[in-house]
Amino acid sequence: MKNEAKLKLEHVHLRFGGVHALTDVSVDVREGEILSIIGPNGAGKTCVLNCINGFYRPQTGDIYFEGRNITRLPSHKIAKLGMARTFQNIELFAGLSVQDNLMAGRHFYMTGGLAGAFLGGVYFGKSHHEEVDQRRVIEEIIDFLEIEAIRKQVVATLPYGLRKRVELGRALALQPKVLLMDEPMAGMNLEEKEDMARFVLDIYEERVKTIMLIEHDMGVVMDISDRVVVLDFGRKIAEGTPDEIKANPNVIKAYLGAGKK
Amino acid sequence: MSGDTISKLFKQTSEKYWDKKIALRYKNLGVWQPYTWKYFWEQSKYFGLGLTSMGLKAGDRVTIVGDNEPEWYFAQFGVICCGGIPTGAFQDSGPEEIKYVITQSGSTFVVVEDQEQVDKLIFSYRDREGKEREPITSQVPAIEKVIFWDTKGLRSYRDSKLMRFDEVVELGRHYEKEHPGLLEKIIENSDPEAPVMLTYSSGTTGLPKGIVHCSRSVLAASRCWDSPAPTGEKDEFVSFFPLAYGGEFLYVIPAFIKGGATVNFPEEPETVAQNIRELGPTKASSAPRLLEMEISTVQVKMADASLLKRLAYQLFMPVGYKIARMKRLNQSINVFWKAVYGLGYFVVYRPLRDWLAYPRNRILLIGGAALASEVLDFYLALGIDARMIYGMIECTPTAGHMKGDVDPETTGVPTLGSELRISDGGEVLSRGPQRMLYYHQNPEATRKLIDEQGWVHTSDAGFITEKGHLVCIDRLADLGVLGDGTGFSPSYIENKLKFSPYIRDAIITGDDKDYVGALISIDFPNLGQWAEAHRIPYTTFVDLSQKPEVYELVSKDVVGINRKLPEKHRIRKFAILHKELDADDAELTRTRKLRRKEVSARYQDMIEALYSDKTDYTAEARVTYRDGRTATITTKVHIASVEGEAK
Repeated sequence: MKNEAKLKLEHVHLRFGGVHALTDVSVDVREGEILSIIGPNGAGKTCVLNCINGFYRPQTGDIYFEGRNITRLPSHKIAKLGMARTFQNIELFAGLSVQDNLMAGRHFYMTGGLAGAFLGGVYFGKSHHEEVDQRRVIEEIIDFLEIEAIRKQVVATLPYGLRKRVELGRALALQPKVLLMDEPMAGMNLEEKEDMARFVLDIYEERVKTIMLIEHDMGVVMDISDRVVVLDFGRKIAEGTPDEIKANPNVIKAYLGAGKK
Repeated sequence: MSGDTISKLFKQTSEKYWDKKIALRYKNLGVWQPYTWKYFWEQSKYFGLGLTSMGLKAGDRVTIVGDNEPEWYFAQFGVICCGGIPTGAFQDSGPEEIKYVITQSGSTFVVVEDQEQVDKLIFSYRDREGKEREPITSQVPAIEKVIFWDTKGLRSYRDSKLMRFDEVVELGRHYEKEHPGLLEKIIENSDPEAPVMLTYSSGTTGLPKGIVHCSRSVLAASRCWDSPAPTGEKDEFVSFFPLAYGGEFLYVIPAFIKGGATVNFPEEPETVAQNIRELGPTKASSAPRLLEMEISTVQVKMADASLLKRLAYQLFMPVGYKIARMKRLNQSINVFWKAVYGLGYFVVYRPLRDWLAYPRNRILLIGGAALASEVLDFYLALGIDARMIYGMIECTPTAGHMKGDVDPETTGVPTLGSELRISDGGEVLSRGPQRMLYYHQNPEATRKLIDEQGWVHTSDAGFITEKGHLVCIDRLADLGVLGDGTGFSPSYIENKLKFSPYIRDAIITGDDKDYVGALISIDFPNLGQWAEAHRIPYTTFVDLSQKPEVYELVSKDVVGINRKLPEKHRIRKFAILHKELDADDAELTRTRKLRRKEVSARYQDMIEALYSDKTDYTAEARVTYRDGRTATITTKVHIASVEGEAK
């Protein structure tokens, strides 16, 4: 089971008018691995994530999640299957507290319905228990990400590094099978990056067994990934272990330009 | 029964309250989780038995490293009940410092909190010189097991020395079945003179020394500090001082287990202030540094408050000071002032006490370092029963304020059963039942500290007033003498400076020089807020510290303090440090005391610049990160002259 593809992209093409954002991209994300996607700016990394969780529809090609074709499914249904993501530019509810933002990530698990919601307003039976159960899950995530001190703070008042962590918390609140992370370390200083790398590894160990990561920091990517996929101008130009990637001439060319012999 | 011991008291109290009363409370998952005496007792007992089954013998040492959490207590009491000696290392120490504690104490077991601490022990690391060192567990083969209680991130670790806390407890349960009544027998035979506590001095001078206390001395210490307001069932403590610093074991623990009180553990170090406010502990002990920070926050927040609040504060605080002084001098307070004070209580003192987490406070004990009288005055003005206590962990408390006899300029009179004397050299000597046994494996240092008559040489310079109060001036070694022979006390001036909300630390210089100079470290959060309010843009700590506006502001505070000092003691020149003083750079101890020798050596060139004609100085500072890496920062530091001559 270990090497089976949890998430599979098959010959995905994505065009915006005449722009070929992704050309024939095939990627397997296996169960139990951290897979990183790297590539220069505009290589189509975020497009891959957006295709996977249904923000974009590829013109041709298919995406499978646990063997099921999800190419045409809407985002919320894909999320419900067990796929969560974080965003490059942090998409939180800025006016809500950290707690409430995480709670929003639990809405799939709330079953109360409309009547329940009304009664829940005055805390009766089932809705009450449900609220308590969900809070416990949230609190465990707060503990996990070490954000106890800010749990009641409004997100808009938090510094950038912490917001990133809250967003990660919301993705975890979904209790996903696969976690997609779009540049979790962008804009962070060295210490924050180290913390985040530690959290990614802890998540891998304790919570989500399959992680797909987009990242620019080569040091981090090479340190924590099992495999790396390199994109350039919407094409996959390399795939392999960090060591293989470091030695791959195509990758060096894409990043540093072709040198004259 | 040949006298009380910690383990006997622990057993008695646990059996008395069993599952009917809460012993410990720990905020976890956002909720205060209660632990009954039964649970506390069982966890400690089985943990101790678990260690015994793995070979722990009476007198063996166990090092504990971690935040203040119930498991720290379980481990500590488990070890004590089995006749072992617990010791602690500060949780933010680097691998080298932890290794020192383990090897100096000769610990065979190390109990740690989490992955962070485990990594320090089982992975190779870089030392201060940047050299790669082997993991501590291989450097110190005497370590039998490394036991951790927080499993996060440790699931995949496969190290034969690693063990989970609950595994040890489980081992203990089995061991109990094979050896029923073993622990109870050890407790029954426990000796009041046997060591129960090993704690390391903060190392303001040289390497930390291991201080060994026995049940008798610990209980004597606790009796001294507990007598003003005896601890009872309803009392609530908060445990937030690093447990490696022995203070809590001498002050809180014996009173807590004797009186059956409750100890509360904050959720995380970052939430301490928040959690203390939620609880409102009835008994508190604090350090001057924390109180200084509290007051700074109040001052800064007051400056930002609405006009009405500011007016109320400015009107009633002087009243509070006045009444506190009258009470102190046992003057009768007339009806008018009583009425004004009563009004002030509702308008200012009570809300402020509530905000500062003292609404239910019965007594606030302050110790650990010298305190500016302004700080104590502030708490007295709010009507808090604040008192200074004096003593070093080796023999504490030896002096303290008694009820109705609080003088902010002194540290009070000798405590229950202790004696105080000033030697011919001006050194404070103390003697009493609360004295430690010896320094662990350091007979030479022990002989240096305790003379034949049993007097403890505190290395503090001080004198005793006519009323019998002790006044502590400074560390003997720190007392400075100006070029013209005038003596001065650096820490006295430093404490005055630190009262300013914008000054976090200060280093006073002037030994063998013509005048007194100061290196000042700013309070970044407070000054940052001030800068924002005054629209002064800044980027980093370094940038803010060197702004001319900041110099101007600090200069005003320095001038103000100069007015209170004798002519010769006035600060003539100062520079603002471009970095915060940090324990990781060995500039402060882990309890945030200044390591004067290290700091003076480190900033020697800058100090010299204070006594030259230069107006700036290019500083190169090497910083050490937690993981042992180093970096160099180059900054231009301004040197300011203070025109304080004008009267």
